[in-house]
Amino acid sequence: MLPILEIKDLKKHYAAKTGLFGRMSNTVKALDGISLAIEKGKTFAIVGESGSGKTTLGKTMLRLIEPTSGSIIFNGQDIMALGTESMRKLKTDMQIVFQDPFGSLDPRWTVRRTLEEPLRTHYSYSAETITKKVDEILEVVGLTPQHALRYPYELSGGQRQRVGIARALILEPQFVVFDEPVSALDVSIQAQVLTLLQDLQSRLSLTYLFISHDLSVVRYISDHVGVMYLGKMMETGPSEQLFSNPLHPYTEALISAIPQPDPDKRRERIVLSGEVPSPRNAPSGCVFHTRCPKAMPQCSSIQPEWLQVSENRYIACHLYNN
Amino acid sequence: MPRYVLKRIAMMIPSVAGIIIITFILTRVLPGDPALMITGEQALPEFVDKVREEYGFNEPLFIQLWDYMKQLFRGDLGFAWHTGHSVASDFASRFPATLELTLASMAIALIVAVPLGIVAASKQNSIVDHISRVLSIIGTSVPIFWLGLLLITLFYSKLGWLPAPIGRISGNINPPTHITGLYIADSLLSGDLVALKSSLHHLLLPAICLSMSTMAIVTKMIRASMLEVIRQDFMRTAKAKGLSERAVIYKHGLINSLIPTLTVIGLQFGALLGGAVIIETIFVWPGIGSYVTESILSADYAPIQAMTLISAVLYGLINLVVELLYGVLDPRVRYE
Repeated sequence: MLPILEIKDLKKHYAAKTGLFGRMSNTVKALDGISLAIEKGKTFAIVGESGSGKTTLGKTMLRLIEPTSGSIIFNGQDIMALGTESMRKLKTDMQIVFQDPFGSLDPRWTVRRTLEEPLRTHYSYSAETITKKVDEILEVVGLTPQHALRYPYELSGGQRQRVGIARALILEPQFVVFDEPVSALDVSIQAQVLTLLQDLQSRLSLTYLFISHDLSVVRYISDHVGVMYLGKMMETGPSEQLFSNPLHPYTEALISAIPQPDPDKRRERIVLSGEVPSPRNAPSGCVFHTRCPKAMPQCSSIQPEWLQVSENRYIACHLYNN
Repeated sequence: MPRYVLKRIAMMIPSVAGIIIITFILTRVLPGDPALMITGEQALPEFVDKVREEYGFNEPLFIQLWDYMKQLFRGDLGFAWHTGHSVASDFASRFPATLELTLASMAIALIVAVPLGIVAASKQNSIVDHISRVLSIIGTSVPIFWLGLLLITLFYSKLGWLPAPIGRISGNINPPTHITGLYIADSLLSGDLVALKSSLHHLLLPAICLSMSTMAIVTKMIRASMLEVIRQDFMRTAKAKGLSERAVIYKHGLINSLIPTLTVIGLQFGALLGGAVIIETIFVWPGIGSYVTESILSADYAPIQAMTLISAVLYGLINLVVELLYGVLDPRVRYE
């Protein structure tokens, strides 16, 4: 199956000035050579710790952040080549739902006005059509037209996130990035919203990029998973395979840390020592070697290549180098 | 909301009472014997005493204060002996001049500050941003009496581009028909282009001088609150909706950053009234500011007290209007 979205060797480097008067300059590699492909109608999840570059990846895919280099191919078209105006129009096909449902809505605008704005920006519908479309999308996300009269501060967190989802979906996009859409919500509301997302995906045949640090959520919702660490992709693969048979030592450690609901079940946790190194000062060679329980001498000097190990699985680790 | 307005006005009463008492005491502490000022220094002592008695200056202070309060309650602001008119009629004839000057300064300040602040914030650390910061420092730190004299020297004495800085209109031109008392508005309404040109020429320098500090402060405020708003998530959401950069700034950024700025604009009206005292004296502007200066110099108590009182009430009302405007700009604000 052809991917709807493919990114190749995507990089986002920031020049960080340090020292007095910013004389010393340092490069922060927020994204360093990320490649992945997302199939139509599927959910690709990105997991990783804070600061691993997941959110940057999500925003860079829509060019809300301009990448330093690399290509983003959406429906066979390299969107890096698009001008500002065409990129703006492309927002009807590519949308994003943000993490914070509290801050991501304009506090001065009613829900209806917030939802109408994308339609007014991109189309010249009549007032009735706009009202109808807003009412429809509210129903799709499980809200009523009464909610449209309210301001964001009058809604609960779950309702606000539904508004955020409605706002992204009202343009009928093909591809939606969800940037930790449930991490700000209560667990009970999380389940509702996740079910809603799955339901919408099958009804509207949407393709998702789902960013999360919660592995249980990712396991539940994703078809394909990518594991990030310090701006680099460590491993990608179909969700089932990756969870049952993690290849990369980092993935193994992450999966062993998922809490087990059954207290009697024996489990072996791989506890990683130390902290995530600062991205300003990323380790040489494999960025994970400072914390890797299986580190080898070459790991600290040679960057592992991005290798295909089986049909759908890719990995960057010296353990699998031939 | 009407309830809220009434409550706020009621809350102004104690502060107004305090202002009445403090200005009353302060005017009495000022050096200068009013009786002697009225009679002239050459007058016979008996005549001075007679005037002192007639005006009640020999009564104990608290009796004088009590009499003054009673007089205010009757709605009488007193008599300005140095002009020979009642304070109320002096105020009515001079207030339009100050209003025109203040409004013009505020308009100049906002016309420059709002766009400058927005551009400075949306292009942080650009040339425009640096210029805006330098201008803000100059605007807040340059004394306006010095700036006023400098502008007069340059534009009147050296270049001769503007008429002599005396009054609101050149002496050889008739003022426009009195409609609002604002010369610019009146000459526009009556289509009097000669008067319009002359009054604009006279208004320009004092209004620019007076606008400087407000311009600087509002620029800083807009820049700061805009920078804060730009970093908000909903700005990113607006961008993700596919809005252009301009639309994001104007539809979501500007109004949200106007709310804190509005507070500052309200407070600046007070500063403008204070600044008018200096500017009107320098430019011989026949408004409330120069009236207060003349009254102080002639130790004329009634107009000093009355003008302070009126300014305080005006200031309170302007800030009430600002508070009500919050509700228009921000739906989260509720009045109770």
